Amino acid sequence: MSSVAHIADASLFIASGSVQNAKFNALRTEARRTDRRFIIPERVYEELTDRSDGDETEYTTSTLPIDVAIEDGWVAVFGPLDYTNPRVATAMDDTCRYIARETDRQENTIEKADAALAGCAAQLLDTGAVDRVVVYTADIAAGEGIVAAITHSDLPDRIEFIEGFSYLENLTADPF
Amino acid sequence: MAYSVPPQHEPNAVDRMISVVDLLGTPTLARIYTYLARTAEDPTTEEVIDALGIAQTTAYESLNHLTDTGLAEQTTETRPYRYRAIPVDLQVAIDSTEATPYAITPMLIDAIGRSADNENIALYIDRNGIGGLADALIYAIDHTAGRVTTQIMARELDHSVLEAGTILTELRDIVRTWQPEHVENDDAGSEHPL
Repeated sequence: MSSVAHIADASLFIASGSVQNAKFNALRTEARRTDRRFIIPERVYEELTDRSDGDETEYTTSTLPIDVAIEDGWVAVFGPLDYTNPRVATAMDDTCRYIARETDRQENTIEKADAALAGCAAQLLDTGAVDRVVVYTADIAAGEGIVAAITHSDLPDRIEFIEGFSYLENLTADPF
Repeated sequence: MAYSVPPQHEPNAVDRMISVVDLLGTPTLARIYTYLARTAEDPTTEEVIDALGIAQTTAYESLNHLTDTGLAEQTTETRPYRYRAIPVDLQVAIDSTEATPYAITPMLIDAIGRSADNENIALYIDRNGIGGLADALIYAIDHTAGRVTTQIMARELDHSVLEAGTILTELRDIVRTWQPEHVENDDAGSEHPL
């Protein structure tokens, strides 16, 4: 039986919101129903728990229940990324280049950390930890870039991109 | 509500600009305008009240103001009166050297209207102003088409990823409402397509 890693980025958890949000509950229910654990790179965890915006008033997403999800066991933090692994480094570089091209930005304005999902996917596949990876992100350029990067490496046919907003909408039958 | 005084003559471009400024600063007015613009059957005052859950007085005042200032028109001669929004497409460039003028269109007015009952959009306007929301909408349009990522938006607008992701999530429905058949990676058009 093949093993699959489900890697998600910050956009999926921001879009699913707080514990009061139907989308968060649908995501949790789906994870439990399918016995699925979403993996987030360390960088994504930092983005989700960033308090630098600290203000007296806060967005409903300012305190996301990511630690609760980790405690419940359906989200796990993955890291550190092994940048000395050439497949990891190449997948991240390729993804950054793809994002720069699709978004019409200079390559040097895309941070390597923006491709943390690609690095995580390459590392899990290369070390044989899993046979397949599914990435969840609302950032189409990033999702497509990861698929292109992993497919161009010698790890073809083992990566899938699911657009985060549509995924949550399908889980709840409720558009944003 | 303190609206601008309606003109005594047929509203010209300057009058309409002033009335659009009213819309941008008054979420309830923006909501009513958006409802008129989005409803195929021109609604009656009662239908506006029922659909938006607003007070009768607010509805009558707002509809009168919208018609007086040339943003809506009455489409029936007899009661119950029905109303229709008049499309807005206002180009704003304070400085003539500005390469891309802002286009104030129903999409921005819709976003402002939703701030009446969406605390994330309301807080975003508090923090970044109406101009900031207009910028965020440009990013949201690009994001829906896969032309920008949350991280890029966060860096370029000096937001946290959380703030960028939050407003992108809230604006998604608005973009899809007004651009139902957007073309992915469509590079056409030099203006900000708000």
